[in-house]
Amino acid sequence: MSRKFWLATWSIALLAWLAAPPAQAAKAVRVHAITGVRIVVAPGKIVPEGTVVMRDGLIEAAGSGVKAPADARLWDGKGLTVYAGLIDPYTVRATPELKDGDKAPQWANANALVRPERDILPWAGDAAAAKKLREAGYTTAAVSAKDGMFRGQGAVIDLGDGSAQDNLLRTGFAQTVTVKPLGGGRDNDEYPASLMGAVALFRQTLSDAAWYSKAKSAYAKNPRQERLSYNAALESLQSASTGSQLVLFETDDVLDALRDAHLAQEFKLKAALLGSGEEYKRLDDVKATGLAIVLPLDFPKGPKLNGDKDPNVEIEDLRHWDAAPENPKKLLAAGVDVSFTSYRLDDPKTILPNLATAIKRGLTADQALAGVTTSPARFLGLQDRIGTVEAGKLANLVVVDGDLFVEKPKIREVWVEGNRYEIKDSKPAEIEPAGTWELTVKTADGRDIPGVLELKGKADALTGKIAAMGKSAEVTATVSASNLEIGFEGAAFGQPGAFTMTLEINGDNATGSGSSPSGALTVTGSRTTKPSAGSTPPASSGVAQ
Amino acid sequence: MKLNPFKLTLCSLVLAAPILASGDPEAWKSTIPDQPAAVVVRHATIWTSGPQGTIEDGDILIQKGKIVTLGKGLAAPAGAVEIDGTGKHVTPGLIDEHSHAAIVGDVNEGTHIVTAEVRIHDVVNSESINLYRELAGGLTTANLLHGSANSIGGQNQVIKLRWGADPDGLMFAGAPEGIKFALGENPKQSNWGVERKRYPQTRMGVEQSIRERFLAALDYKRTWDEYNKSGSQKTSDRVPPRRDLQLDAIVEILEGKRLVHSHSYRADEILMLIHLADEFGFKVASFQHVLEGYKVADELAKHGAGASTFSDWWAYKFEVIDAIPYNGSLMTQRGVNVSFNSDDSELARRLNTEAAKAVRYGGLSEVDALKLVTINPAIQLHIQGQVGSLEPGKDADFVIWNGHPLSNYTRADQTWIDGRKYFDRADDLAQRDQLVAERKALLAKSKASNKEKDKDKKSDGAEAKKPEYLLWSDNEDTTCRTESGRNAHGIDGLDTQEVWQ
Repeated sequence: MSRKFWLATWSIALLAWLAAPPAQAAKAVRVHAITGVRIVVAPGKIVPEGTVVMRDGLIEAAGSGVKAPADARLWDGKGLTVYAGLIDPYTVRATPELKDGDKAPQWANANALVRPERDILPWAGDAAAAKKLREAGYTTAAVSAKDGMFRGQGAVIDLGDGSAQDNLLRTGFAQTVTVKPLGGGRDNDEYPASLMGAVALFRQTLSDAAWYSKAKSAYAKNPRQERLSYNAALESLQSASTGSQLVLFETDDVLDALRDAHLAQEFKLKAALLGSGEEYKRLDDVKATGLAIVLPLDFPKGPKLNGDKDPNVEIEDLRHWDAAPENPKKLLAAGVDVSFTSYRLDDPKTILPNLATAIKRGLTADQALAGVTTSPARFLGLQDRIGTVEAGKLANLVVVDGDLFVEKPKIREVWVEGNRYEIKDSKPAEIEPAGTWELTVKTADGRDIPGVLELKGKADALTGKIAAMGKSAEVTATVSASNLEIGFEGAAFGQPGAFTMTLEINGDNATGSGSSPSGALTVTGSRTTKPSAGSTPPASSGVAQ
Repeated sequence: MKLNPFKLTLCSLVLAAPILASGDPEAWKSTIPDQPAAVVVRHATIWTSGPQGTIEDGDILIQKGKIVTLGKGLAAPAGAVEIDGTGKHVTPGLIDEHSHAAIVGDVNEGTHIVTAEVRIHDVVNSESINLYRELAGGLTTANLLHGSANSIGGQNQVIKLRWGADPDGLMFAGAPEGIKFALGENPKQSNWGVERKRYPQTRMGVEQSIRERFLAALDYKRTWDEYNKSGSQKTSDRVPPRRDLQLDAIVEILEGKRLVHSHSYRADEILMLIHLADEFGFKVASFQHVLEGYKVADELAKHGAGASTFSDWWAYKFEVIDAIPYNGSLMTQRGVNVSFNSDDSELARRLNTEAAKAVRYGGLSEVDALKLVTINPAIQLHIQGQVGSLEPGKDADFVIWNGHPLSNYTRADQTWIDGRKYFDRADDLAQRDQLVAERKALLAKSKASNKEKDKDKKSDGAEAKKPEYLLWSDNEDTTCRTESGRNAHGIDGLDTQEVWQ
């Protein structure tokens, strides 16, 4: 392939771009249409076959009479079902721990558990966590700090690649609170070491917040008195303590729920609960709190049985094992506002089979869907932007072969703000593809394009770049069995959208296929150099994102 | 639509079956028993612990949860629940003046020497099986106390053992607020061998730690009084004092609004707190344990403090070396209001036989001995207007025993609170088979659903955890610490009951 030919192709692409509306010129044009697909628009609202059109990250149209526009990249959705992308209203991120001897900032609260001023945003972006959630069908997640009592300001982000800022939907959606003793990285000599001590600290802190507000206004009225010191913690608690910001209490059991609801009432907070799964035990009390519940679905495992030997298990535990999957149904039947979360599951993917279990025990499929789409959207105050497959909403979708709420759901892809993420079952790596690969990429219109792929690191933590046409881009690279999957943004090559390629690796040979903004690709190639033994660079988590 | 009578019959059967007696082993599954409009127990020996003394072949009439009359051959309203008490004894529901039986989380906030801001009220554990077991021993009221790791510890909570109720439903309405103090080894901790050294480490320091807080509370109160007097609250142009929940509680002690229950053993420390209380102008409602109380009984009586002690529990630490089983009787004889407490969730199931020991040691009358676990603790908690004796107008909290209440062959047949039968031994026995059957059915269900999963799981013997040993090593951190990092002597975790005594 000659350099001249490339230049010609380039020029055509450039011209096509320039012809686009000027406001869009600097941005990649992102127009996609999934055709012939079954659309679950919202709980209880199904279009048996239709088209979903996405433009610039929004749903432009969705329905049976919708036609794909001429500029859309087409995706055949025949036999597939598209749902609104799932929304997780409660995920947590670790923030740097205070170590022994660390001094809290002077302006902060004396107790290290009280960090209401901490904004999670700098820690909210986590490519690996986002990928895991996407594989479970999630496209949006609320993120809170993991440790502490007053854990700080939570954010809501979409789960696309890029920084948290790029994906941010909302900052400060809630002050997350755990009224429990001890946080991360602290010795148990620190106050409080008991639950009742934690309650006392909570109460004193909110009392302080109310005092701070009065003190500030008194000082503003009359500055001829001892100056009031600035306090970042109490400052940032004002919106929560005055009932304008949501306070989300994390609970471990039903007594926590009742206790936290009392505290919310005592201080007139706008509150919600992260549930425990045993709300059914005191359902009337829980209902009477009037609080919305974000409900984890970590149903207990049954006892370990060893033949006919009576296991050493209490009737209480057996009852809970039996009753827990009915908890979602019972809460909804009682009229409680429930959203579901993957929190407390070892793998977020388990949310779908667990919802299937709850459905077997009386939850309706519509309730299940609402609990992972429309209810959390409303809970997060984002019902105008996410939660349904409707024109004007963000193009956050999950595409499934079959139903979503089954033991083994077959999620094919998720779309986050109009960007496609193919979901594949990953298997243990059988190859180590690090090295330099010379590839030939055959385009849909029959052209051959040479490229060089360089990969570093072990199969579970690959980094690398791809070079072609004198340009290069960073790639994401993952291995499943003997398959290498790479992805990269076409921007560096003047192409509006993402490239993906799946290569079957056989020794030093690679064959496979891929997809690009301008159509399907086939790929062949071979490895020309391998990293010398023992000099494999340390695994890095820095997969290009 | 035509009704199918067969179906209706089935429905009513299904509805009737799952209603168990109130006393399920799980509180949330237990229903609150009905309160009959009227109940009368007849022909029983009634120990009133009150002015009516003991009534042989007596009747007690209850209406809407309150005692109406006691006597012989009482007329009862139509429809009253009649209970034949022939050969049985009726006493007031027993009261445990020192309990930790139903608290969620640690019983001590042991990090600071003074933690007056913490409240047991926030952590009452309505789900603890201790409550049901203690009901079965005739207990109806308990004073849930903070632990003894602090010179001024947390605020206590008096509860009724209403099995099945949520935490709010357990609270003893109208019981005055109180607070736990502690003196001696537990707050000073000088012999605990832990790395952490918390001030104070001497008995002098314990006194000082209390005095310092009372002085701070006076100062705090003065600041508030001045602020309130200045009218600045209305103009809101002066920065108000910051509310301090710890000092609030201590101010309430000074104002006589909060009862002090102080853990203590030795005569010197008992005198110390009496002097300090006299100096600051408040009364100590009760000394707890108070095992050397017999040495300072006159001083206790003069101050007006109650003494809540053990019947015969000693030799568990050095500072209790002078304990004697005659303590309760001797203090009673010198005019001190004495109660016997459990400080232990198991002992609280048989406080009646604890009381009986005062007859054996010191020769208290049987009536006075029973008062050690009925009216006397009620007086110490300032709830004698509602409970503690069988008198017209008081709460219908009573126990029907199958024999003499001070005999260790006797058991409680029924325990009533607020005119509701919370425990019935016959119901409990009847329910046991049902529970065994329920458990069996659940196991069978579990077996069926686990069959597949179990197949995948091979023996996990290889993963067996190595046992963890407690070793004396160069690293001080590991000494006296269990694998959970908690102190084996129990200040943080309730590992041993010695700590609480």
